[in-house]
Amino acid sequence: MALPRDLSIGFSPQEIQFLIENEPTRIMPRITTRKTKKQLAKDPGAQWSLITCDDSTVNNMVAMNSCEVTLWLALLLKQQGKCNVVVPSWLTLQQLEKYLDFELKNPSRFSNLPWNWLVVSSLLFARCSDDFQDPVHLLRSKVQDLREVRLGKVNKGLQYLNESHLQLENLSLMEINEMRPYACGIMDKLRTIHDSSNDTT
Amino acid sequence: MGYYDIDDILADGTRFPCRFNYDVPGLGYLEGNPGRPISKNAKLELPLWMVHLLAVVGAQSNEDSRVEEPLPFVELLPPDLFAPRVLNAIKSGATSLDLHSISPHFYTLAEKWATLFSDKELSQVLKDMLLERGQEINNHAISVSMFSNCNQTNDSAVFLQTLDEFEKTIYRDTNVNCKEMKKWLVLK
Amino acid sequence: MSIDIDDILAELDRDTTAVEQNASSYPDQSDRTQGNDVSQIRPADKAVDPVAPTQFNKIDDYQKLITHWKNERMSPELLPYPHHLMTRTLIRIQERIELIETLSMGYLEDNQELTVDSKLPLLCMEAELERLKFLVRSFIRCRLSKIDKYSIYLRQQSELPNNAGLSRLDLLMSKEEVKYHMKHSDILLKLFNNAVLKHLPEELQAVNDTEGSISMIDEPDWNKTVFILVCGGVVDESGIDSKLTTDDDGKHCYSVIIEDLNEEIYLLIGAVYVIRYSVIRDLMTEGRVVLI
Repeated sequence: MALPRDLSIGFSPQEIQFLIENEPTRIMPRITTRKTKKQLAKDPGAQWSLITCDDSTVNNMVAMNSCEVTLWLALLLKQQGKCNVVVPSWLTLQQLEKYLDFELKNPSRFSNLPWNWLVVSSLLFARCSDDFQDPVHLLRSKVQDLREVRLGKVNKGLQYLNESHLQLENLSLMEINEMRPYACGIMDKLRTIHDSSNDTT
Repeated sequence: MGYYDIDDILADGTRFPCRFNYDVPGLGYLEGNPGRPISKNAKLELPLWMVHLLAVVGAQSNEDSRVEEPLPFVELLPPDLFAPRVLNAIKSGATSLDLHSISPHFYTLAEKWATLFSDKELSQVLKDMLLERGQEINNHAISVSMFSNCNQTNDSAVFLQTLDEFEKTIYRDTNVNCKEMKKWLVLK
Repeated sequence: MSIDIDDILAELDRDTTAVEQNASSYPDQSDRTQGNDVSQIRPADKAVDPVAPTQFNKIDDYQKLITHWKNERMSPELLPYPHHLMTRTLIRIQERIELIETLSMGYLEDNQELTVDSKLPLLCMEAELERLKFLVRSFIRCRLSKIDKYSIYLRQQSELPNNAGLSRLDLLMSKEEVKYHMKHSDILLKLFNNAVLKHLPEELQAVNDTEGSISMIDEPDWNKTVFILVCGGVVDESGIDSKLTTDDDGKHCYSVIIEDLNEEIYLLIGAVYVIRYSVIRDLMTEGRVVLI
């Protein structure tokens, strides 16, 4: 009642996005917020004050000096036109190509993509497409390929569900959340079936 | 399962064949003959919730009070549900089996049966079937687009009608999750 | 110390009904694991007030709140309420709302040339506040849905003889939640009674009958499958992690046993597992694994 059924089984994609937006990312600010003592005395209210993350970085931004802020703040600043986002090093054509190669060469393992690759890449493509050096449509298709290959592997790997436990390597948070309802439902049922015939009471 | 679980309550209503071990006066209405007693060795189909209790509770036998385990009121006979031909059909082709027509609550009933008789073989068959059919369900559930009005092909619709109640919950959860995911990917 | 923390808090206590200023003195699980909070250098003679937001690192608090949220969402049972953490967070939210109000009032009055630049800090602060409020709301909603679901079970737990009765519920839930729970279960029981139960014979009128084949009390599913991330890093006073062992390859891990299957599993640090809840429950309470 207080929580709808889909949310009690797992997270919604928007909540995963919320979780990942708390992670730090590099930006190139276009404005300077670092103020001299004189400017501070004149207008103290213009100081930033954040309660969930460190505000010293954001208060000391100098234009064109890259710094690290949380992703949600970076996206907000980008939307206002106040910064450029520095694309993470794994989100280049070359690097994605390497990951894709690994995925195709190793059908039973997952490549070492970052924990948040799907969310970060989707967000950056949608909101910061001008910050990329490689053409975005090519990157998009590479990401799509990666996603399809990995999804195929996840679905194949579902045959290993059992009533005891499973170890997952190198799966991102979003992919885990995708398979969660199915995996938990099946594993719970396998467990009750197993318990039904092995009931010692 | 939970006291208030509707599927459990419905599953308990399924009738199972059983044989009475005693003459019981006054229960003739179960056979459709009100006012008459049920004779020993009469075969009846009774709902699981009733049979479950009667098969476990034994009557005190007058003649032999030193019997360790008094004979239960009824004896559960092997139902068609778990007959060898059904088990063979499962083993040979679980994914193409129309489980709904065998019983809409197959998994629940099989679990209860396995608990009553500690039937490990049935358990194993059930587990294998679940994994196999589960993968098929997953394939169907994730292959829909995010617009709910143009997704189901005929194959999908036919497949869905062969699922039992538990499989339908799995399908629904996976499907909803997948649709949300696709919506998010497009909209962001 | 001439300034008493109560005075400072009392200043904030204008008409804020939402914030519990006289917070309970119940210890938080999370505060214990944050033993080495070196970011604040506290003078040795000043006692740590667990609900003063200035004495705790706000970033750590936020991270802790997120962990609590994730654990609460994925766990089948109602986890203990983080009293101090929530009080601090609510105080911070309240302060922030007031600050934003003052700032935006200031802008309206000044009639300056309002550039986007000057409004930018305000914008960001508002966005951040909304995020924090979402987190708190979602956390409370999740707890409320579990309180609804397990209301009879919780009632039964509070009536157990060896648990000192209601005090246990107080640890588990905040004051408001306890009130909600009492009222909600009362209303529900009244409804059941009036609609159904009072028309039944007396021996069938119970709602907490456990003698039949199925207990009427819905307990949480202790064996539910959950996804966990093994983070480790919890040390006790001597500075070592007492539960850490090494497996055959020499890697650090925690060892758990699934009793029903007679299986011993090594949980490697940094890995993700899909496992039943009862096995890792202790590890989760201690903070060695988190649910994801």
